[in-house]
Amino acid sequence: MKTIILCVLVALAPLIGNAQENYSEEYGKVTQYEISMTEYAADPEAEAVVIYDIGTNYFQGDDNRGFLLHMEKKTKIKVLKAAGTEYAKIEIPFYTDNRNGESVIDIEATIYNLDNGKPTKSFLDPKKIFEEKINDDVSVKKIALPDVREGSVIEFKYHIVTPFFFHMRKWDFQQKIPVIHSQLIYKAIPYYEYTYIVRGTKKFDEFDSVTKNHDIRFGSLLYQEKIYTFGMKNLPAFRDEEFISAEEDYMVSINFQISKIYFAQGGNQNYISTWPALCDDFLKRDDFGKYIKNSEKEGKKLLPTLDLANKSQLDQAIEISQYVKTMFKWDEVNSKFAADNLSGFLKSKSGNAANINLYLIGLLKAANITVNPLVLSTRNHGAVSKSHPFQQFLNYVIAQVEIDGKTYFIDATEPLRYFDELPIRCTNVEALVVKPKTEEWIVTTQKEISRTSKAFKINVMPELQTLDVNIQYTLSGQDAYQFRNIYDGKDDNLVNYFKKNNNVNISDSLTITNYKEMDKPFSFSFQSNTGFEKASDKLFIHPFCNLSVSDNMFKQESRTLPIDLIYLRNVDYKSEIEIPEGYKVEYLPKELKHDSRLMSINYSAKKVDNKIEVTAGYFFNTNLYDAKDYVRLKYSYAEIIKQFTDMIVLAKE
Amino acid sequence: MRLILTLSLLILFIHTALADETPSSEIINSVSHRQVKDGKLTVSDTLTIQINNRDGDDHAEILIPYSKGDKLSIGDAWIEDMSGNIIRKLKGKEILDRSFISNISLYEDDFVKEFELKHNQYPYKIVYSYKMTFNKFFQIASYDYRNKSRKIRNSTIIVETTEDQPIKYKQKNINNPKIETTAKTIRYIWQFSYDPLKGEVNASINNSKAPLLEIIPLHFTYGVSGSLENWQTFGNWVYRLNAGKDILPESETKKIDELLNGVKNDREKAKILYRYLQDYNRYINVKLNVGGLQTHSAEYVAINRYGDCKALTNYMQAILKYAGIKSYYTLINADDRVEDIDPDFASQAFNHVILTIPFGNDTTFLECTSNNLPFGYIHASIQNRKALLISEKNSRLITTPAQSPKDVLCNRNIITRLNTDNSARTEILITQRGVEYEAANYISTNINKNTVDKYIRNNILEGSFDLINFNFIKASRDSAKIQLQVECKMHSLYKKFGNNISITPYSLKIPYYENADKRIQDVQIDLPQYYEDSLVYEIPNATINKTPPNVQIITPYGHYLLQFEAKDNQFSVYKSILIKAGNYPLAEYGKFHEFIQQLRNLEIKNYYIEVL
Repeated sequence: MKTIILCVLVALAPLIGNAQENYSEEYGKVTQYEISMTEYAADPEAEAVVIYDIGTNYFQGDDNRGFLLHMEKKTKIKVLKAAGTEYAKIEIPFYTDNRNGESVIDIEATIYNLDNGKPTKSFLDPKKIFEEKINDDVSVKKIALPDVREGSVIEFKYHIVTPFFFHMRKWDFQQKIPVIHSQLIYKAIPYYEYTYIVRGTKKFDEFDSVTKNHDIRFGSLLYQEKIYTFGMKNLPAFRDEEFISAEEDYMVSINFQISKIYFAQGGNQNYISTWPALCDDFLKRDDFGKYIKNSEKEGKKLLPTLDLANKSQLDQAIEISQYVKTMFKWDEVNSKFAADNLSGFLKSKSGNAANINLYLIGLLKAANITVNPLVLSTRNHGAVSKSHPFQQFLNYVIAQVEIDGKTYFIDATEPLRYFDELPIRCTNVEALVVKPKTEEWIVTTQKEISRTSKAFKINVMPELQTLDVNIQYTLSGQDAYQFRNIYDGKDDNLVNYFKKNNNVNISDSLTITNYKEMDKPFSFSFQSNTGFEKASDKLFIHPFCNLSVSDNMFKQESRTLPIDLIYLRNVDYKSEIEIPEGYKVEYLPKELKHDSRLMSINYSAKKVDNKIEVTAGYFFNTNLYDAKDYVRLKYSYAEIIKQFTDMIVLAKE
Repeated sequence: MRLILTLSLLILFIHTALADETPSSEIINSVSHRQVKDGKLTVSDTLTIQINNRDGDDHAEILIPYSKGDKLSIGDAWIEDMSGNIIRKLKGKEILDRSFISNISLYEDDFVKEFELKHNQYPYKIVYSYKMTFNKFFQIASYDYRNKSRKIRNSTIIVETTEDQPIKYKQKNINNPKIETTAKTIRYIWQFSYDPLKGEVNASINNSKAPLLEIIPLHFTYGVSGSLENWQTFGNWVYRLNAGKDILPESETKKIDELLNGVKNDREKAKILYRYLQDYNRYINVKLNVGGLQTHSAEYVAINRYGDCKALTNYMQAILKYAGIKSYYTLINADDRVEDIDPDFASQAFNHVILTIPFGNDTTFLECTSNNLPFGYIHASIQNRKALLISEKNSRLITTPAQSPKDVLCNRNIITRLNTDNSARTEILITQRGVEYEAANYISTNINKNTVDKYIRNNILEGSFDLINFNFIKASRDSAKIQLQVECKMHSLYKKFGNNISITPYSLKIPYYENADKRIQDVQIDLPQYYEDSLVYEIPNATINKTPPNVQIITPYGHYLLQFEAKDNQFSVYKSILIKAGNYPLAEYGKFHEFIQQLRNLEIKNYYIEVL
């Protein structure tokens, strides 16, 4: 066995050496190539490149504190552009927890420069390491490396020692700048078992596991280490992409979670679980299942005061959710567990998402409505890996209600959203239904379409060269939420919005409908005057008064990640133009009808009596597209812009 | 007559009703008691805040910042209902204590104590008090409500001092203080209220109606002792505070000798040293102890190769001194807006430091925190304002030059070849100056297609297009302009209607101003905006017969010129837009707004031409 391992190692060594010959991974050593390179050939735009990033996680016995987890990290970065000096600012967060917390030790850094062709070295002065206190539990070591400029090579290392086995740091192979080599070595010992979750890649460029035939003694324990190596090479920079859920879902990383601790005296404790077992756990907890039970008891007292008798189950559910939304304030903390106990929550009238939604679930139960808690991971928290049943991957809870065979997802944290309209953060994610001893997943799709309808009634006044227009917007779903937020109860807000964004003057008679009636579409209408173009007795009129889309929302040249639009989206236009006396229609835009898997687009303009009627609209047929659909979406959208900005021409008879 | 009276009363009633829109939160009562005694300043504040609705809840989050060395203790705090019944008291463990470091800094020894007192039955009141003791200070109180949006019903500021510790004060839109003198102490009592105005575009900050109160000690010790008698005494104190910080290590003087070897001209020397500063150092702010005003030493910069504005300026001054060039450390208030500095009231009215070098009659100003601005370039945030030049004996206010229209002129030369499918191939050459140059210059150091694409879409070209290619051209390090070549494909730029062609213009963004009937504050424009476009459209298979009429608008606020020309199949447009810097009183706003609105309308108007 020993010989085989040796052979493998010997065989591997020259390969690794060859591939990286321009670079050195030996701390304290810089190569001529590193110091003189001016751009990274694989990505000439890069402001800096990580030459290596190597971590080693291992355990060591401490006579007073038992086993401690050690995480060592060393990194070398080449600064290629002035903007790359940002990577010479280092932040190391750590858990303080008074004196028993983590310590960050052996912080060292070397900075290499070429000065008049001569290599120079500068070092970090330990007195220039600052500590920012974030709160009682967390602080951050903050370092700005000295003598860094375009062309510098920086190398630094540090070592975290922690008694918290839960806090083995996530290792990010990929970064916002390219990475030539990133490697994590993990030395496992028989007492702590970790599960690892890999994101962003299906395969490592380097993977190896060997058991070291070398006994280690700590107290009465005698054990061997098993050494795992995970490595990635030549990773591209991860640059911003729009319309994605969370960067974390796509950047290459490995995350360790403790799954089991074996005690030296025998026996063990499981930290990894199964989803059904986790559901049972949740239901037993004071801040989850018992909190719901208490809320249900509370509900029995409260419901009679809400005037629910003679109402259908659906109306009761609506009534209860609206009650919770208006009476309790969300403190903007996402959580699946209630922070405050029920009586505290009822007294302070505010709490985290779990306080509010678990209370809602209790009230719904009290009304004999079929309801289950749904735990999920919010969009920016990253997708849940279903093969890794860890409760910490879930950070939010909402209610799933079944009425007459229909499913409703309800979140009661935002009063400007009606009944089952979900906030963006918990839309389109996979959620676990919390029921005893079962595992059931459901996607929280939003049925409510984000919809805007714009209607125009245009009166053309050729002598004044103005259009007298009545404009009406009717919005539902996310669009209604957005405009309710803009309006915020004040006419001026809408007046300013239209003037600023569309150069449309709301001259008069702004009428608002259903601002507070969340169950109905939000609507407003107003009167406006705008000019139009006239050339040689011809009038050029835009039927949608410059209020159709003019900016393509798809701006990237190419796309590698799926496109998540979150909501189904629909926009409709309708315009009625009175043909002024003495004029005839000279040009009407051609009709367009386009239905594809991706989008539906329609446009039609016709003359009816002395009016022109234009109807148009587009609909995204899904809210989640493949990356390969991007270019077609972009061109469809460009087509919409082109068609919808077309003019009608009237000429003198 | 009676009818008219009733009507006018009614109108009056409606008006006040509108103006009296309930604010989301308001300060009901604020009492600040400030005692100057034995060189210490003790501040005891008690506040009652009323939260009227959900939007006001943000103001139920209380932050009380303090610095290392200051003593801060928080007294009782609670929520009460409108009848004064206490709903909940704040518990000690709810008060969090953490670092309070601004985004621009790596580290500051500043901290904050914070807590929140939120309730869900509106309105509700929160009451809290705290006490702070400062062992060193050169300011007793500073209240500036410009741009503050919270209503204050009643604020009382009491300053108690002794005869041997005289104070000075300046107030605006606040009545004179009541002064009570006893055998030992003098008490000044100010009282004011504040009804915030709605935020408006380019509202004058210098003519603001908001209360302003600044109270300072005449004499103080902060690091070293000083006086705020006038700008000269204050400036001389800054000089003493930073004295002796200009010693350079030997390695540094050797380096400078090498750099300046053979160079005779002082200006040339200064330029070389400025480039050396730019290439070797970066901006990192670390604020410790009296770091708000005292600089790190020149040696600190020479070793770390970084520093904040004070340290980098002091270092630049030190290397110039070594080269035999006299320069002056200069305090300035860097901001987009130019705020008046009162020549008769000296105080710490600045937030930034630059360096002034007198070369004969020609004064050069250096921004030492920038890695790429040309030598002597006066950027938008420091142009046209008073600054305090620091010298040992003769500190004084000076004025920085203004950016003139020609300094900020941005040109676009665009050649557009229309295709037969309504799309177009466009070649653009943009020359940016002024603030546009400052932004583009920064972006050009970080060329990343996503960033540049966003920059072009936000600043240069609107509409639906694909960016095919781009290239920054910088003539030299000393030129205060940058050019950008862009090639793109416009998706739908024009439309043919029989013999007519309608072309969507390359609109420029003209600032938005509220309608004249809504405006309440004067206008203050600190920077001119000046654009010039030369556009050529090539139209396939056509001879242009008729172009739109030219436009010429010339007003005291600026101008708008639009000239069209046609030759064969080429349609040319020349456009010039100038919005001048200036201060316009409210009475003039109607005319000013009309000008701006004309520009906004003209800028989005299509060009209609007729072809044969």
